[in-house]
Amino acid sequence: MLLAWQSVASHAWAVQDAEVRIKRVTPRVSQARLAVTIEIENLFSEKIIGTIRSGLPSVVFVDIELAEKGGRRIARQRIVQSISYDIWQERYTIERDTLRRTLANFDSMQQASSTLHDIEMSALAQLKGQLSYVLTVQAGISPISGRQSQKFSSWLQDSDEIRSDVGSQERASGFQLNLSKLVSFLIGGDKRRGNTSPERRIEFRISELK
Amino acid sequence: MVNFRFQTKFMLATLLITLLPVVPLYFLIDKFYQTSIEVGLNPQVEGALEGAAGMSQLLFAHYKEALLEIVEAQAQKTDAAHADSKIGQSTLSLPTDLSLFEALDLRALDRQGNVFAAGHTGIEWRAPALSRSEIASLIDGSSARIVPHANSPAVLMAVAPIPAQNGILIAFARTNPAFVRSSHQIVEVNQMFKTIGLLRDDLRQGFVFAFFIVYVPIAALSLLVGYFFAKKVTAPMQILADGTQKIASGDWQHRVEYAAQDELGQLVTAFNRMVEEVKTRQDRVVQLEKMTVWREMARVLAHEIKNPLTPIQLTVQQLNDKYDDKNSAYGLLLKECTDIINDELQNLQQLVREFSEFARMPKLQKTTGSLNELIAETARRYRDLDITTKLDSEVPEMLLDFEKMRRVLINFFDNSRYSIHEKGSGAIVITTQKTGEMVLLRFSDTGTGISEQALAKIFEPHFSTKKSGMGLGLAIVRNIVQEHGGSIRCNSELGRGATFDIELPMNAVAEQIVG
Repeated sequence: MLLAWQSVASHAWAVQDAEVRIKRVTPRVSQARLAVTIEIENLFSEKIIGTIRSGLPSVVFVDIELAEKGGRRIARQRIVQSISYDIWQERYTIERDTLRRTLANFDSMQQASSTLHDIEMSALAQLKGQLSYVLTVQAGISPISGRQSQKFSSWLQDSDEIRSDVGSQERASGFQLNLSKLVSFLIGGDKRRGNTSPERRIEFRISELK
Repeated sequence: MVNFRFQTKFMLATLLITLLPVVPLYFLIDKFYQTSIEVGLNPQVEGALEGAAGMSQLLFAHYKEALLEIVEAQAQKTDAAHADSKIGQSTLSLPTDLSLFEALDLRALDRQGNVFAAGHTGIEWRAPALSRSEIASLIDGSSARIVPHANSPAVLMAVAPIPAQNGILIAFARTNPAFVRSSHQIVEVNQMFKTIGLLRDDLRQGFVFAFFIVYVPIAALSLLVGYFFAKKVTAPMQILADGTQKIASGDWQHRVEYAAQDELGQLVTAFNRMVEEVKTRQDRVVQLEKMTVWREMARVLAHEIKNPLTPIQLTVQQLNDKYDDKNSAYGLLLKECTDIINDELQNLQQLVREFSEFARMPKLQKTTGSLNELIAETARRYRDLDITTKLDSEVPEMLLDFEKMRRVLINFFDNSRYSIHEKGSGAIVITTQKTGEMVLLRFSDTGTGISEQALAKIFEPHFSTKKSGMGLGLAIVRNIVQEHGGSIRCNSELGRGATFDIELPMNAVAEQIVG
């Protein structure tokens, strides 16, 4: 099963907000390669917007799989984009691999992060014109990046250390500090949290593509 | 089986005690967590934090506007001054009254990036340096603007064109550190708050996992301790159970070994003592039964033998009386025969007396007296023997049947005398010693001793190593000692002598004296 994300769909906000959806998947041939353009809808819920605007970075995941219809998998890619907002300079930044884009307003950031242009999937030589291929796409957004989780873990530990500095009776045992570390360790992993779209599948033939 | 059941019960009890608090504790922790989350993450707090963050941003926007005004005004002034050719490479005059910024740094640059005028006001502060490429990217702007500089509210940067010089004025402002610190804190707390809201379920899960991670080893440790104690408690019980089974199957010599002095140790000691007493009593019962049989036999024998003795004796007398001395040879024969018959009759009468005495064994007639004195007095009768006495002065007066005890001593002396004579030489040593609630009387000689085979039977009736006697002496001795509630044992090595140990209790004596 493709894209078996550990979705935390039980969050109340995820139910309230509109579901993330893959609006359009457009494959095309470009420079002897098969590329795909993906448009995502409802990526930014109210909750996500609030989170981003507080300065917390969010992470957009897009998983793409190319396979022969009813046959073998040819390629699989995971695109990860980090979106952050500089509350002092009032600008958005999108980071993907080594690429970094700075955008002055939310709309342009939304536009840029919701549309992924010409993601290369395979060399055309590897594909056969008469065969049908299937592209499966799933996307999601997590308002907590791995870095943020770690930061939260260190907050937990720091808060406990502050408490220890105050000189509470618990300090003598040192047990509280260890417990906090344990809790932070348990929640500090790079788990996927957030809103995930259903899978979108499109079928095509190379010969039909422009 | 006993071990398994008890251990299992013990382990189950430990498990129950360990696990019982888990459910209420879990719900309690969960409730605490939910309550604290609800208290902390309420909309008012969230709103206040967002409001504070908004205020910080608003204040920062105000700083930006103020800096923009300053940079525009200074750019116009510089432009005018330059147009009037009032300044060359000179110092810019800046307002000294800075209410918003801690420091302000202005640089007027020509198109090549050369500074032709500069000014600084406020505290000592080195404004950030700009590279030529950064300057080049700023030069073409047509209006005054804020330039994003760093992800921090600490430093603001603005730029405005100076048309006359075809250059730009770059301004750096350092904001109030208290504002910077507060803003950072507000933003950080707001982010933390939002993260807690987003990680609410993960956090709860984390606490639950942490609780179980801490609890599971504790529970395992408790079980381990429970198992250890169950084993520690059941081990001696198992030994006790095994010992009971061995004793029940007839091994009366078996004793349970358990060194600890705890309650179980006391139980084991009591058990061993009980086995010892049961064994002693059982031996005594067996002995008494045997003795009863022997006595009955002795009584019947004495009766059956005694009855024809008198007619035989009378008949022999009659034979002698009726002889008329006519045949001297016959007369001599008759005398020899009747002498033999009379001797044998005397032996038989002695036998009957001993049997009768053994069969009768009257009840003890106890009186208070000194055992040591009895020994000394009896020893004096045997001046022909080499006797040494070591009598413990701590031995108190005792309630004994002194006639019977004298008989015991006489029996020992007679036996020793016989044994020493057989060997040719030897000595006797008699000691007494008070040992706890008992008095030990030890009678030793260095005579011929008793063989190992004979040692096992010396207290049996009708057993003797002597050439004469009926072999009832030591049987009677043991009977007398046991009647006194004591015990007797003999150690001997053939050729080296024998030692008899008699233990007599003092407690019964003391009780009777007090009574």
